[in-house]
Amino acid sequence: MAMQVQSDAAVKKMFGSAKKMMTDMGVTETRAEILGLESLTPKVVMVTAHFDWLDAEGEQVGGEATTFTLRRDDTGALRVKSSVMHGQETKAH
Amino acid sequence: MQPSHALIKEVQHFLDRFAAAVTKGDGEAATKLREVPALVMGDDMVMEVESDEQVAEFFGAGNETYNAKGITDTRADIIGLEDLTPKVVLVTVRFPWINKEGEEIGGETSTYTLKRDQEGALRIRSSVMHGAETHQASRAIMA
Repeated sequence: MAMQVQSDAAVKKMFGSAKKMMTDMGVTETRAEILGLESLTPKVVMVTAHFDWLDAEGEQVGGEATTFTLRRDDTGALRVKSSVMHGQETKAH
Repeated sequence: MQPSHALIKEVQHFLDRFAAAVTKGDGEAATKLREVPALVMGDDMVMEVESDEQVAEFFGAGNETYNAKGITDTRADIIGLEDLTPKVVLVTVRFPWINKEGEEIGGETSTYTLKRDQEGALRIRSSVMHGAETHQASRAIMA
């Protein structure tokens, strides 16, 4: 898939859907581990992060990796401009 | 994922076609290399590319800029290549700017996200332009 996110409302909707999907899978917490970070320009950073999916018992039940292109906005804050989702991992029990 | 030799060869071929399209200002060739919607960004700009016509226009404008600077040729030197998924590749490439005497007079580097289309062909979906190098910086890179 490829999807354009055109508005703040679309961002909110996407995050809302992701939260529901995570809850349905029993994921209550996640943590970001940076796998790679490259400063492409003074304003653009490329980062690959792995997110561990943890359940209520703190056990890892899966995860996913994503590569984000972050660009500083007019206030200097980093914001996601594009994402490549590497795909979900599931943990066999 | 470590890229295979076959992928490196495929991406190099893709970038060679891309470099040729840029130097010739061949908008039609360019539309086959970039799939819309696409995103182009640098430190000073962010642009959404929504149509093939926009791609062709963008390449035409690029060609005029290069000609005005005396650039007649380039080549694609791959600096980094990462196989993110079976369908998505991240490549960083430097394009030296070469004048009609064959001298390098500058250069620029970009990072492209390439995604396979429905036919399996690689096409640019996003670009980060690192910025143009001065002649002095270019000579330092060559040294």
